[in-house]
Amino acid sequence: MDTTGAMPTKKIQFHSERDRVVRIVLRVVVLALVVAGAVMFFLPVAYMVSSSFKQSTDIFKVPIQWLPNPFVPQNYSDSMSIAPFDRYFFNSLLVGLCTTFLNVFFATLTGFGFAKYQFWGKSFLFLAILSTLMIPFQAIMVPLFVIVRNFNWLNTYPGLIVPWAISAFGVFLMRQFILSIPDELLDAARIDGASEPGIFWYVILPLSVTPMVTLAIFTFLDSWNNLLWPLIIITHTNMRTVSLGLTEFQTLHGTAYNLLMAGSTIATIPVLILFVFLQRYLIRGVVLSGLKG
Amino acid sequence: MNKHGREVFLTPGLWLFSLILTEVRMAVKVASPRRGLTIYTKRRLWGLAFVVPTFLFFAIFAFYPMVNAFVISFTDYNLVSAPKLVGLTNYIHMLADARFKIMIGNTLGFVVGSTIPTILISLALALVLQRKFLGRDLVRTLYFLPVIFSGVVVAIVWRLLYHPYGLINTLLEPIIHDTPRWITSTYLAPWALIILNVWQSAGFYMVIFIAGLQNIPEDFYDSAKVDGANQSQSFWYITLPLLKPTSLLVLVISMINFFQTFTYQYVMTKGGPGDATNVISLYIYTNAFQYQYMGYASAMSIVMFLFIMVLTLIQFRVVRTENISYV
Repeated sequence: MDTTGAMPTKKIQFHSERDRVVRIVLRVVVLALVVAGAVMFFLPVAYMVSSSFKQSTDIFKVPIQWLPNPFVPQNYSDSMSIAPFDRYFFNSLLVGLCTTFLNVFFATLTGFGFAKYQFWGKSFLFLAILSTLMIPFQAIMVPLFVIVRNFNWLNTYPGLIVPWAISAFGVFLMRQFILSIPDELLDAARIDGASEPGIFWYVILPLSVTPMVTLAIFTFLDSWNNLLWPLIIITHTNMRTVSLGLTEFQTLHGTAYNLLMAGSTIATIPVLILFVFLQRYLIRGVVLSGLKG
Repeated sequence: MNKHGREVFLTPGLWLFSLILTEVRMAVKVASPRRGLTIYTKRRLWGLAFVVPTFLFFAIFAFYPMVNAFVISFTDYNLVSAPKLVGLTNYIHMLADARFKIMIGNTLGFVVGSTIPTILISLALALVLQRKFLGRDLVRTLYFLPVIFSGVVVAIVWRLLYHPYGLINTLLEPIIHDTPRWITSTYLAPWALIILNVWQSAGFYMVIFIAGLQNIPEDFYDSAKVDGANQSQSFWYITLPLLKPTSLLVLVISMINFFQTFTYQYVMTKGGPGDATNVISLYIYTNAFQYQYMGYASAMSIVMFLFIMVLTLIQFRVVRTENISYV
């Protein structure tokens, strides 16, 4: 290619045509690999749903039946007749919603206090709350169990909810966001006669919906997926959460794969709904989750 | 913030008391006799009121248990009879406990074995998936999907996938004739857990890497192009160096998360075969709630706390010194 004497901008372009072709071919190959990888990543999910509709003798059939024949939706009612999955589902939903509500409320309130007020000892209080991020749950689970037992909260909803009612991450997240709300808005509300709680309710809350939703999804997911804590404090069948119920179901009926897959699918539905409708907020939360500090 | 760092060593209860006392005393001092509290004092008290309930919550459900865990680690305690002080016995026992060493080894193996492929895969995915192409959002979603699954569901589904006649061996059969037994083999079981962990985690860190990539100003690439850099040059000299803070962050967070692994092992292998997949969390749980050795479990949990604390402090430092913000 002869580009000498052409327009000055063309001088920058000194990759040969062959390089260009190689680059395009390389990109196509990489893309194909990534797309194939995505399909592979999806296979376990597809296998779970597909197996949940198979009769037990078809589970290990070769070639793999991706579309079950016969189609057995009864697996779902069968698994529910063996273990009260509806009750587990209700428990998890109740615990998840309460935990989420408490977390969002207290994180916003506390974040507001830290972001917009001056008082003696503020940085100490903030640092103290932030420092709890360093404590892994396993480090405090024994004393926490003793506390909850002393409150008579074993096998109860408060036992499942209260220890998780506030997260330091939530407080940090809300504080960071509320810092960006201009003080003039609060002063304007004060001039209009708003009290400090009034400012929280009428100014801060409506402006903080986005991070609140982000925090809500994260909290709900964590609560819904938690296994260790329910495992420690729940012994009554009727108080089990979905995660715990599924685990026990596997211990008792470890080879009833089609029923296990049905249970797993049930356990995933609410999370999937959240994911489909609120993916944007969830992704935002992932990005922010590393930034506590 | 640093000048208050020393206060951390005061007991929270005592400190809180003195704090409230000071605020009230100041309120009384500032208050004019005619109008009660001034606006500013009132405002300060409101600020305190918004914050104190949360602090009390953490005092009850984080600081107190943490101190308690430390105390219990010096006792012999089985939940039924009163704890008995035994000094350093639990810690000495820990040093002599061959199984504990296995757990540490297994946990570190799981952390290192998972972290490296997770970072490489999530970085590669982020690099490819930050560019626009048809169907990109769908591909991103497919990689992210496993993140939302509960650990229990993942462990149960993958137990079926790893079944001697499950999906994985069915797909492998044409390639390897003698298909492996995944979770019943001492050698393969740890790898089986690492594979499913990478599967579930890669999407999470991919999202963080994509955010990091979007943070690199487009101008940098433009000016590199003007200077005649080709694509691989701008990757090595712009993308990678500027991605260093994000990579450090991902490294530390993933280590913190993987270190605490419990659910996969508890649900899928129960730590077996033998102790091949047993990890610290599971061993602490077993000692505490199956053998009722609360003292010994607490001593091990203190060790675990120290590990996580160091990692978290590194994380804070990375965020602060590299001044990361994606918002």
